[in-house]
Amino acid sequence: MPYTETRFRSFQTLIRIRTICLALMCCLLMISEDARSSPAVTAGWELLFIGMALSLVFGVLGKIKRLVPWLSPVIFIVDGIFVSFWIAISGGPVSFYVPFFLLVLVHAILVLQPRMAVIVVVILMSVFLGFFYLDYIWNLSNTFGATQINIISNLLAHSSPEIRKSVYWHQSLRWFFFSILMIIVCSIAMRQVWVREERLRIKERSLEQKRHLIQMGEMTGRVAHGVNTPLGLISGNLELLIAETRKSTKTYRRLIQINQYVQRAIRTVRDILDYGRQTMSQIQLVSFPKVIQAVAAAVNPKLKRNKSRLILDMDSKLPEMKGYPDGLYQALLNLVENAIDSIAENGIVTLTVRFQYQSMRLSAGDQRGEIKVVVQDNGRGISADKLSQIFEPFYSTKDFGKGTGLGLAIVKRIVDEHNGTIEVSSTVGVGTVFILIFPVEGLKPNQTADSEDFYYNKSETNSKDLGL
Amino acid sequence: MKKVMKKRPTAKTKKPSVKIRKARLLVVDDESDFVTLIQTILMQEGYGVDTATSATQAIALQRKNAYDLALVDLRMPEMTGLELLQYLKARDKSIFVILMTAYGSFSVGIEALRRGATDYVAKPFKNKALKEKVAEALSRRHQYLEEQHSIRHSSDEL
Repeated sequence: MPYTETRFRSFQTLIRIRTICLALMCCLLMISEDARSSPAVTAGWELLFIGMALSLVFGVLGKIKRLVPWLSPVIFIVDGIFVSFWIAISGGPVSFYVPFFLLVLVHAILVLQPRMAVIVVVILMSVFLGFFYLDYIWNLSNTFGATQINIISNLLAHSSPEIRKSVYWHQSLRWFFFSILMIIVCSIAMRQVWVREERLRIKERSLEQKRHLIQMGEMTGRVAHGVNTPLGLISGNLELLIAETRKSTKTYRRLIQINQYVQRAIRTVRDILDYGRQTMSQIQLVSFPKVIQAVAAAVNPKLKRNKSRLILDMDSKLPEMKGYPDGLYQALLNLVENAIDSIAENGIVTLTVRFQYQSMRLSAGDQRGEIKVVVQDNGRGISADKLSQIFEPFYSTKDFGKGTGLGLAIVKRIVDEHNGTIEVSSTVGVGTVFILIFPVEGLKPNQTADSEDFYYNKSETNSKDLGL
Repeated sequence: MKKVMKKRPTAKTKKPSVKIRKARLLVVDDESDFVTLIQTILMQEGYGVDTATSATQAIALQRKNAYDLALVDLRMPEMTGLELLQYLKARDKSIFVILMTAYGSFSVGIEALRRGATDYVAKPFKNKALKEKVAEALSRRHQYLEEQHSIRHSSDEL
C-alpha cells in the first residue's frame, strides 16, 4: 500500500501532538487534584499512564511504514474510547475534552480533507453539547467544570452509599453511551479516510500511467523513423530479390523465410507505434459513420480472403463525438480484424452502432448521451480463463508470429482515453461480443452527422471537403 | 520522354492504358537508397521514373520536365512533404501527389488528403501495394483530366 512520504511524516507529528495532549490532560488533572480529594471519584492516573504508554507504542509502530495507514484510524478510535472512559472514571471536568478535541482536530486535518475535519469536529461538539443540554433538562447530576466536581465530590462524600452508587453508575452509563457514539462518528470519519486514500491511489496510478504513455509516445515516434526506413529498404529490396530468383531453388526458399520475418518485424513496429501514438493527435469532433466506413473499407480485402461478411448496422442519425478519430479508427479496426481472424471461413461479423440519450436533457441546447458500439462475430470464441488477460499488452492467443499481442491493449487504451468502457463476453465455439460505450456530452439537437458522405469514396477526386 | 508529351492529348481521349503505362513519375525522399529502390520497383512497371533526394532538387526537376505523379516523403530536412506538395501543385495543377510517411497514421493521411494529395503510403510498404497505389492514382488522374477536358470542351461549344 503506497503511503507518501509527507503523510508518513504527518503521522509522526500526530503521535507527538497526541503526547502533548495527554500532558495537557495531566496538567488539568493536577489542577483539579484538590477537588477530587473525596474517595468517591478516582483520579484516573492509571488510565492516563496507559494512554502515555500507548503513545509510545504507536510511536514505535509508526516507524513501520506499512502499518501507518492502519494505525492512524486505530489511534483515532482508541483515543475516543480512552478519553470517554477516563472522564467517566475520574468524573473529571469536561474541560478534559479540550485536549481530546484538539487531538481530533489535528488528526482530522492531517488525514481528512479540511472540510471533513470541520464536519467531524462539529459533530463531536454537537454530541457533547447535546449531552450538556440533556443533563440540564433532566436535571441530573451536573458534572461540568471543576467547581461542579467540587460540589459533587463533597455531595457524594457526604451522601449515603446508595446515592453515591447510583450517581456513579449513572455517570458511567452516560459516558458509555457517549463513547459508543464516539466510535460511530469515528468509524464514519475513517470510512471517509479510506475512501479518500483509495481515490488518491487511483489518481496517482492513472497519472503514472499517463506519464508513462507520453514518454512511450515520444519514444515510439523516434523509433518510427529510425526503424521504419531501414525496414522499408530491406523489405523492398527483398521483394525485388525474390522476384528475380528462380522458384524451387534453395535461395528462393531462404529469401521467402527472411521475408516472413521481416514482415513480422514490420507488423510489430507498427503495433508498438499504434500503442504509443495517442499523444500525437488532437481532440476533435469525430463522426462515427465516417470512421466506420473507413474501417469497413480497410478490412474489405481481408474479408474477401476469408470469405466472410461484415454487416454494418448504424443509427441513421449519430451525433458527433469529441475524441481522436485516429484512435477510434484504430480501435474499431483492431476489433473487426480480430473478429475476422477468429473466423475460419464464411463467418459473419456484425458492427452495430447505436445512440441513446442519457437521463433528462438539462436544457434545450445541452444533451447527454452515449454511443454504443457492438462488434460481434461467430468465430471460435475465447475461453473464460483467457478472457481476463486479453487486454494485457503482449498477450496473444494467435499462433506465434501472427499477432503481437498489442491489438486489444491498444483498443483498451483508446477506449480509456475516451472515458468509455469496454466489455467482452465470449463462448467457445459460438463467438465473441465486444461492447464499447462512449459518453457524449454537450450535444446540440441538430448536431448529427450525415452518414451518406463517405470518407474512402474512391471515385471522389476532390478530397478537400472531406475529413473527419 | 517526348513521345509521352506529344501523345498526351490523344491519350487523354482514347487510350488510357497506354498513357498510364508510360507515365512520368518523380520520387522525392532524402534517403538515396530508398529513392533508388522505388525507382527500380516502378521502372519494372514501365513508368519513367526520375528521382530527387531533396526538395530543391525536386523543384528544379519539375521546372525542366512535366510529371504526372510525384511520390513525396513527408519528412525531409529542407521542406516537409506537405510543403513540397503545395509547391508542386502550384506550379502544375495536373500533377498528382502520393505522400509517403514513416508515421502511418489515419490523421496524417487525412491531413495529406486535405492538402490535396491523392493518396498516402505508410512506410514500410509492400512493393505490390505501392504499384497498386501508383496505378490507381494514375487512373484517377486520367479521369480527372478527361473531366477537365470535357468541361473545357462543353464551354467551348457554348
